[in-house]
Amino acid sequence: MGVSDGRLASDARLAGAGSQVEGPARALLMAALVAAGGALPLVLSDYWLDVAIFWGIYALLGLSLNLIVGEVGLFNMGHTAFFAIGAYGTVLLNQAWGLSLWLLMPLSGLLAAAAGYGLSRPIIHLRGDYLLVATIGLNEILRVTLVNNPWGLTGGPNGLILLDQFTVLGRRLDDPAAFYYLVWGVVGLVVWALLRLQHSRIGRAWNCVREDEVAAEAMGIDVRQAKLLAFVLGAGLAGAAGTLYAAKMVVVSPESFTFMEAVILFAIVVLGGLGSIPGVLVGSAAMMVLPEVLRDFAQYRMLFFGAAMALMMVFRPQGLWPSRRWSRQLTGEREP
Amino acid sequence: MALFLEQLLNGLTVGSVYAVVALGYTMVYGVLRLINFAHGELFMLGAYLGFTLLVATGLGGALPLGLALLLLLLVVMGAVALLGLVIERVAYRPLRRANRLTAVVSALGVSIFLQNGAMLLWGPRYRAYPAWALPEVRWTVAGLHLSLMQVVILAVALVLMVGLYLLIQKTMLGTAIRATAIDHDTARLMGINVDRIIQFIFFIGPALGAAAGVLLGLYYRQVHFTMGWIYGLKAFTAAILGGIGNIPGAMIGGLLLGILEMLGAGYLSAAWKDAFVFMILILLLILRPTGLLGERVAEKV
Amino acid sequence: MNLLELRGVRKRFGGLQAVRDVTLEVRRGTITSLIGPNGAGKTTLFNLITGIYRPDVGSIRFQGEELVGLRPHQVVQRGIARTFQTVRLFTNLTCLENVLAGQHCRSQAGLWASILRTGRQRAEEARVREVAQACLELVGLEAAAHELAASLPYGDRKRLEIARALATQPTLLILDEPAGGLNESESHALMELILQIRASGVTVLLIEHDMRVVMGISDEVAVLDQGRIIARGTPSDVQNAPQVIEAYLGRPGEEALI
Repeated sequence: MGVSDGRLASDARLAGAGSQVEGPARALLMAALVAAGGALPLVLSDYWLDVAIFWGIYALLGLSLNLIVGEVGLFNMGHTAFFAIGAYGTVLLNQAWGLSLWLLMPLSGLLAAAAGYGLSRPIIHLRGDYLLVATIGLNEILRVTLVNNPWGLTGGPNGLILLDQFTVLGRRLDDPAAFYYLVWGVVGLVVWALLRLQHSRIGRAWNCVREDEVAAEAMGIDVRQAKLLAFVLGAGLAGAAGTLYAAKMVVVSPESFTFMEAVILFAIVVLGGLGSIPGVLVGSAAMMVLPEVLRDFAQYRMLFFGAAMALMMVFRPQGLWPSRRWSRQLTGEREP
Repeated sequence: MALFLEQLLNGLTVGSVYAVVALGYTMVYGVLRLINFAHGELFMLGAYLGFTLLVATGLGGALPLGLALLLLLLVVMGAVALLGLVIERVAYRPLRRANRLTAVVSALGVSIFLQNGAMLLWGPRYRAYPAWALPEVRWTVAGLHLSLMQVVILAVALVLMVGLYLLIQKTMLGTAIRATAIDHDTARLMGINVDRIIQFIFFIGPALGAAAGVLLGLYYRQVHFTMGWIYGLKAFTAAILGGIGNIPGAMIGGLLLGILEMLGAGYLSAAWKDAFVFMILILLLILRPTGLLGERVAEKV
Repeated sequence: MNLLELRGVRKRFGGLQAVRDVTLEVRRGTITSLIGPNGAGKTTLFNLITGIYRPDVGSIRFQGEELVGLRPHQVVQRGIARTFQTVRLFTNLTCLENVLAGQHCRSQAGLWASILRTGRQRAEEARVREVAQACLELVGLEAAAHELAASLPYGDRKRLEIARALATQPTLLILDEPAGGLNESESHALMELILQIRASGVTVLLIEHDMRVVMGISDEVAVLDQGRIIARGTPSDVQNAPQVIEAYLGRPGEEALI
């Protein structure tokens, strides 16, 4: 127990700006948050529960993209491609073999991870802007493919319908409260795993790659492998989120996976604060919950959003809840 | 063979529009190393403004049609160029010393803002350019159909490209731009007002983009608030194809991309033509990221 | 025994023959200095050894094993660590995190072990932190362990870079102008540090312009001029070699170096 206590203390230090609270106070705060989150379905209407569910799904997507953009510094603007692969994979595999969604969630994660590996391998070495453009291209190729309905697989512009649902002891989780627990349970699990990863050998290597590729390689870090691992892991998580999305939406169609969606995911990560897990949760809330609060201005939503993105970069480039590490870099000198 | 020539001509027409838009990307990238994601939206705004002016004025009255069209083109170019200056001042200049990602996100924000602004102003549906804007005149030369529209588009695009090329290569201002593209600090030491140069880039690029928007509106007869992003991305692909930061490269890249796209549409499948363009882009990034003319010896902007 | 052997190494960049036919040995347990006028190809040679560039011709053998064709991180794994002429730290990470990076290639914990924090992973992590701490102590930066690298003064950054390289537990440490930009007392401390590193059993190869440092601590000196080794030997041998004086002192602006 002694060892792990020491580790916790050092983790708290490493966690930086996001968490000035340490030790027992931090644990208490976490417990309070979890309790409040758990109690939400008791007080929220079904409508607001749905909002919270989508928040959770986008938080998951944001976390997965944060691995790629925030931790390793790879500009991936085609992340919805992997989300789409997960969602379509879920429906197709369910239709073909009637596999349970519980099995399909990790399976579509694997599917998207495999796609992530295959697609990113040839382009992962591209620098900054070029990678950004290449990933936009990948996303667009995939979307056109979905629309064009090759071999009658993807259902064209109308997409596919998922008839199945997550079931527990034979009971379908159609009920928003149950689905809410499912989604946020997954979010909790992922956050837990990612926090541990951040403070491990792998997370440190990722951050070194982000800071200076040449120096990282010269320190014995296999930069290419580190990048690929983050990309594949991020793609896989997005794929798993695709299963949740398909189960919630029932209909899976190309219009859910446009470039705009990719930009929103990118914005969640950047607005929240690159490399910051709490930042992603806040950023996805800002993207998914605020528009609902401001429903009366629904048609101006994206207008505000665009302006906010630009203004945010001008006035608060480090994000809403920055991780200590990026805040300096973003306000510092431009890279050579 | 007839199909080939037909598609070649179509490709040249569309490609010349891509080329003009690509110039805006390549100039900004050359000077600021920034992908100006908002550039596609400026192109889209040019198309919408052209539409509104056409409908509002009816182009009728005192002036002959050609002159009226030219005037319209200049007005649209001027208006969008001013907008370009504003965008540079508000969204890019404060970030000039910041990390690259910051500027990219800001550019995307501006892009989303403009796109949705256009949707609110002109509505979410396709708007059609009036059919009388250019008379439907067609010639058949050796079995090849050539329309007045295509001639006008090719001619205007050519004038814009040659004009810009001469400006960059033959004038003091052009020399200052090229110097700034190579090194801001050294340019500053040589007495060049780098801020001015950047402003100029953000004036001339959007003006070109707007002109291309009007041309494309005339050609395809319809405008939509999302058109900026897809054409913008294609033009950007063209810029990379030719070697980003390289002005003749952007022109050649645009023409080449237009031709490839139309041949792809003609011989493979029209439904896949966008995917086709992006496949070219990705292959190019993998095989030759410096583009066709993007050799180190080649002149940057 | 020779720890590192370069045989007929050549590298051309476009029209520039940066390294032409370099043959060089570094004996185990020594401090070997590589000197030469600016543009002689010293840093290029370092980049060739560490795998950043690949030689056009020639062989580079380390402990008998060919290094040509290996990627930089693989070279580090074989036991060669380096610093950079222009300090390249991970500026937004703490000093400890910087040094921990050096231990990356000396640890194995994979994805699942890191997430599940297996017993082995925790033991490894404890060991890795111990090594990193020791490296920080060696260069005297233990008090700054949790400071950001960006916040350090220049001299300390150079020391941190050495600590980071040492954390890879190298057999050969390559230092690119470690005394560059340091003041008198700082370069004295640096010499002490390099001697201490040699004493701990690490062979040192350095590029240096500061002749007090080179002559003060080197066991062997090699002089590189226009991509060729023009002289080798003990510091006093090299100091008196006529071709060195010609290459080096004969040029205006480079005087008073020896």
